[in-house]
Amino acid sequence: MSAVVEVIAAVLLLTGSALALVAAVGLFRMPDTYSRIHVATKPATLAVVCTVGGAMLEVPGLSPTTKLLLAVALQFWTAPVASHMIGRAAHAANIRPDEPFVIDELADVESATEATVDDA
Amino acid sequence: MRRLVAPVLLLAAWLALWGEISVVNVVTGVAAAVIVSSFYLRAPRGRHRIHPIGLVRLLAVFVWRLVTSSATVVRTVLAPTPARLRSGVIAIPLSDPSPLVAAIVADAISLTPGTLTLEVRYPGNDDRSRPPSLYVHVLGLAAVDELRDDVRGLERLVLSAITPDRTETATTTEEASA
Amino acid sequence: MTGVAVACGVMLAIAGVLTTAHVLRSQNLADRAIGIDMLVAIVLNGLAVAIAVTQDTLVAALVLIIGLLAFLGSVTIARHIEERGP
Repeated sequence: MSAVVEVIAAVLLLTGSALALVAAVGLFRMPDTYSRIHVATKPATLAVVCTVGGAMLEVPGLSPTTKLLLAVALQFWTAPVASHMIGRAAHAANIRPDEPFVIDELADVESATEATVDDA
Repeated sequence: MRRLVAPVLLLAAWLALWGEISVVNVVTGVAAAVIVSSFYLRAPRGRHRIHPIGLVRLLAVFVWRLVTSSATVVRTVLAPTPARLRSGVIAIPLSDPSPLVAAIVADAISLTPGTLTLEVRYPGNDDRSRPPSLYVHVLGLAAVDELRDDVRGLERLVLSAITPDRTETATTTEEASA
Repeated sequence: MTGVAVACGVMLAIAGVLTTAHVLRSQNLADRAIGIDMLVAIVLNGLAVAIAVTQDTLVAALVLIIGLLAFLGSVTIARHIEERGP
């Protein structure tokens, strides 16, 4: 295993772990649910991509490399969708942000379709 | 020819899962791909044409946005006190009624720093022939018009990669600026 | 490589503790869903670091499976929140 590849793999592993830590700290820094979605899911996705990429570089052989490649593609593809689903559910369940929204055009549409009074 | 795209991709994924290309793997992979395709991938939702170069560019934009969004989050979290960001949900109407294009644009928005797609609604009573509106949650609601322009640029980029087959659209020759 | 492993392990452990604390102190189901998604991402990170350090590739399939199941779980919780409230 050449030294350059080892160094790149080590850097990737460290970056991924650091990003995961930043995401976890962000869960505490942010005041409300919606901002936590932003802060927790995006760095976590990049963290998994980085770490698994580092593992792919470290490990010899084709078989684990293709599996890890599939795992990276899967994570990259599904993580934004999962965060979107949680955000959508939170808004549909009327979870309120820390300070009220400046504009909330979705609430108008939701109340129009449900014919209920919404005080957004 | 187009019907073979999905089963071929499934076969590739199957081979990647097993990690080696051998006769047994290929045979079982073909069988699995055919069975899954015939059960689950029946009616295509309208035809789209795929431009490979546009796809590669789209993927690069996705990766770049993910990286910049993580960098922005690192800055926000490590700052001594994150500014009290006012957030809001704004509506962004798209220009193409295709649900696949809307889904990809929504995905790209969720990877962009500070924005998250909350909902996609078709106007009127779920009228699928008109373009939908994306409802996007924004952290730090500063420049709404800039955001709308950004999303429209994204949509042009997606359309340059995956073009719905309708005779009146002339978007295949449009230059996309990311 | 062992230095890298130790550093990664420490960072991921702190991240895990923080996320668990967040799940425990959160008020509504959406917050907890985010925390659980984060926990699974941390587990995936840990598995990848383990694969890189011990060169043991048996768990490579695990990374894929856990990723898939975590996505399913997140979407299911989201649908539940939509239909039955937080």
